[in-house]
Amino acid sequence: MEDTILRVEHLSVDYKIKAGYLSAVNDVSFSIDRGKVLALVGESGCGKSTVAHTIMRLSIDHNERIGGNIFFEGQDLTKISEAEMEKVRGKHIGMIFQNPLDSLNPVYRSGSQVAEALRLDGLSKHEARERVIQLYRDVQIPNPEERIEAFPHELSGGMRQRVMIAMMLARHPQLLIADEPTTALDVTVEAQVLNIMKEMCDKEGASVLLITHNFGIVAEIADRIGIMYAGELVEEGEVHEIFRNPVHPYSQALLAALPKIKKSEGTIQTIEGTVPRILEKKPECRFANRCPYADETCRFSSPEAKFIAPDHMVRCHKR
Amino acid sequence: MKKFLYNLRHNRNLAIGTVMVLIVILVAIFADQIAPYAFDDSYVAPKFTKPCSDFPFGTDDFGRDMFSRVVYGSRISLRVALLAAIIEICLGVSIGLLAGYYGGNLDRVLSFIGDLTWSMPPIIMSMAVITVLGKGLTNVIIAIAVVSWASYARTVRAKTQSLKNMAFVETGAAFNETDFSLMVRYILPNIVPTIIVLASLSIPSTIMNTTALSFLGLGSMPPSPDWGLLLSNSMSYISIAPWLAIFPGVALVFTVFAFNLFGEGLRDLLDPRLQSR
Amino acid sequence: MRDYVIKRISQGILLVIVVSILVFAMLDLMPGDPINIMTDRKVSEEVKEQLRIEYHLNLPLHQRYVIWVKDMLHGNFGKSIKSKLPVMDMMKARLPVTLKLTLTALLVELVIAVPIGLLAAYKKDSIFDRIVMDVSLFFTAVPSYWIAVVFMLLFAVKLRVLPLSGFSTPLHYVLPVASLVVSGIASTIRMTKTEVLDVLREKYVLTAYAKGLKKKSVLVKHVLRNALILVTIMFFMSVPWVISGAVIIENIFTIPGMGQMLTSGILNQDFPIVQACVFILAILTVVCNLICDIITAVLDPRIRISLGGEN
Repeated sequence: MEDTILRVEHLSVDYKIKAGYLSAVNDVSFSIDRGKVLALVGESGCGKSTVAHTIMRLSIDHNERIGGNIFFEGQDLTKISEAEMEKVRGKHIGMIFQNPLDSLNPVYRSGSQVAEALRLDGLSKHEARERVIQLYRDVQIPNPEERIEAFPHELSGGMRQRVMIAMMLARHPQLLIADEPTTALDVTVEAQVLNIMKEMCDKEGASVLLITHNFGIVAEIADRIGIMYAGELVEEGEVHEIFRNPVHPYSQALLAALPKIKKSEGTIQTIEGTVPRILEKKPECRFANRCPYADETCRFSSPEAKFIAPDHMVRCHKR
Repeated sequence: MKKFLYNLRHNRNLAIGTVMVLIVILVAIFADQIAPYAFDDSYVAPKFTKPCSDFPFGTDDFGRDMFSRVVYGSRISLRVALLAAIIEICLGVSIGLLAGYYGGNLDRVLSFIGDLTWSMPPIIMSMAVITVLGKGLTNVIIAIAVVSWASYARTVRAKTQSLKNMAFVETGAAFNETDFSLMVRYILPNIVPTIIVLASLSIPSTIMNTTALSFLGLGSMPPSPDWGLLLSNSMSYISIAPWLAIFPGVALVFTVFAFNLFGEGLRDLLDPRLQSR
Repeated sequence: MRDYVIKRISQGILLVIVVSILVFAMLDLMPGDPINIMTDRKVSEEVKEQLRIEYHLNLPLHQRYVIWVKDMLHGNFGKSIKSKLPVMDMMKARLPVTLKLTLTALLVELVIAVPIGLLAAYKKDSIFDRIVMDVSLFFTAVPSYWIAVVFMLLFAVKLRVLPLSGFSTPLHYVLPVASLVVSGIASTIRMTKTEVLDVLREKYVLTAYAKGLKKKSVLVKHVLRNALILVTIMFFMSVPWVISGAVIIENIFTIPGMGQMLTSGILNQDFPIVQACVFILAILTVVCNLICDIITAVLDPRIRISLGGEN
């Protein structure tokens, strides 16, 4: 257990809405080892971003109810005070968001926003500036001396995301949460940004929690993969294992839906139906209404997480 | 309608606003039945009679019953609001349609005029118009309408621009419909909810502006029971008959507040993204 | 940036020219002979002819416009028909009074409304927020002149703590300014709250938290600064509106400002006065909108680029 940096146990998040509580995340458990990359994959709205925001305790409307525990370096992030959490954010856990234009403050120069993070560690203005230039160089931003003076809208999407990476790795966090870091970028830029992120994390020895719906990215940089559906983690294991041997019907369908260039079968498989909004928790398998194997058991009792191999978790009655 | 009734129950502002607006409308319609005297019946009691059971709002400097005058005043406010809204809508909607539909130089000129009138404070602008037209309530209504059509024109223009390129309008164009028919039969019906919301949102400021002009002596002339006029008249007797200042003001605030709530509620219902000034 | 400012200024100049033509044309738009409107029926034809020449009414319209503009550029707005005094001299005495009243009111409005709006946004859905929102919604419906009347009743007539009218001592300021700002405060509170809520939802606020900033620094550096852009705009946007409110308030409290001059000018059909007042207020409006746009552009680089790059 020495090597585990983040351990999420039975995490559940419910948003308060007019009609009651909306279950966004339910009974999610996973852990990330030092220096490793875990990818959380699923359709949009499956709760993967909520997991990320909950770990960082970033909430916009403060209308959620959180259950379970989040252990980071042995400290339970759900229990500590807001002041203690402020010391964790940025210093120990960094986070990159989906859209790099919205994520940078439009009225400040990009470099000063990175420097702002460094100044928290007591660097002088001058030291911070030097370090920002070094960081820009590390994330391969050309002409860093000039670019630190640029406003966010003067940078391209890929450049902005590099600024975000520089900003979030500036304080040497042990964990980086990347919430769909390349979704808003062009495919060509996507690969560059991902490589930079991976290299930087390897150099720093930082672990990564990667939120994505893109299996290509997962295959490229992740060590482990967790598949989420309707707020639940339905399957989790080593990347090659899951790719070779997906066990949960949803995982199988997701992987089958990937267009396979080699075989060129002509049709792209899709999964029938949509992700349900869970208003009240019922004993049922949340995938039952779309699952080809579902029977009475699935409709009336929740499947427990079980390990079909020491390192391969699945949540399904049928396996 | 069903949606409206549903929202009435779930949108507090809309519900309260609707009830208040209905009260004002009913008072105006049944003024003859509600008011014990005509608005210009003088010396029904000694002048400056304090509010009492017979004269709940007291009497004024001519011994006229203030309650009756305030009740009849509601007719003036509603008529003003209605007339001004009709003129504003006719002007604003046609200009907005033309500007949005044809674009180009016509749009540029019309938008320039619109922005000009829109940026000027309405009271000042209407004072200029009244200088030209002369005093009087009708002229005040025209003045207010002439300076406030621009908010309709802006919104209608923007909506027309986006609707113009929608499939159903282009289909109409393919069937050789005339420009006029495209504007009136294809585009206009889709902007009606927006126009309704804009109208209900603009009623409060219309009432406030016209009463303000009457207050300054530029609008209604005595013995009209216009609330603005009642208030300005009360100023001369403020130390001996404060009730003359209180009741017309309460009536005015009640009406404006009613239309405010109603308008905002209606906006949330029909066109939530519409921003009012 | 420079292109943008030049573009906006030339738009402003065009606006001023259009307004000047409209204001100038007011006299000719009226039905009937302007001289008859200006004078009594008893005045003899010779005197009328003299006046016609004095006011250049014998010249064609465009020549008169040129003369009018030239005069105005020399600070000559003509003479009041009623008092025969130069309008410029009257204006010099009255404009400062109105500006003093307006600016005091605006400052009071912002100082009170912005912090309350911020707090309401920060404590969204609290009891404080709900009370503030309901009360301010109500006060947006209360016209300033009625508030003025009620304040007079309360503080000048009943309690006798403040003077009823005039504008000589600081105490005289209290009631006019108070009645002028009440509804302004209400709408400014609501606008500030909406804007701050929008900023609080921005992703860059999350980023600021994520890099480890304390809540206070996030609010001051990232939320407030962006919300203050709006406040600046509000300030300049509301100048013309507060002035038009001041027109009414000046009449109530018999303050010798421009509003009173304008109103009596209209009532007396004193054209040069009305023209001068309307024109000056229009220019003031154009200038405020211009300042507003330029300040926004300076403070918000996004707008600087998107607007500047338009042409």
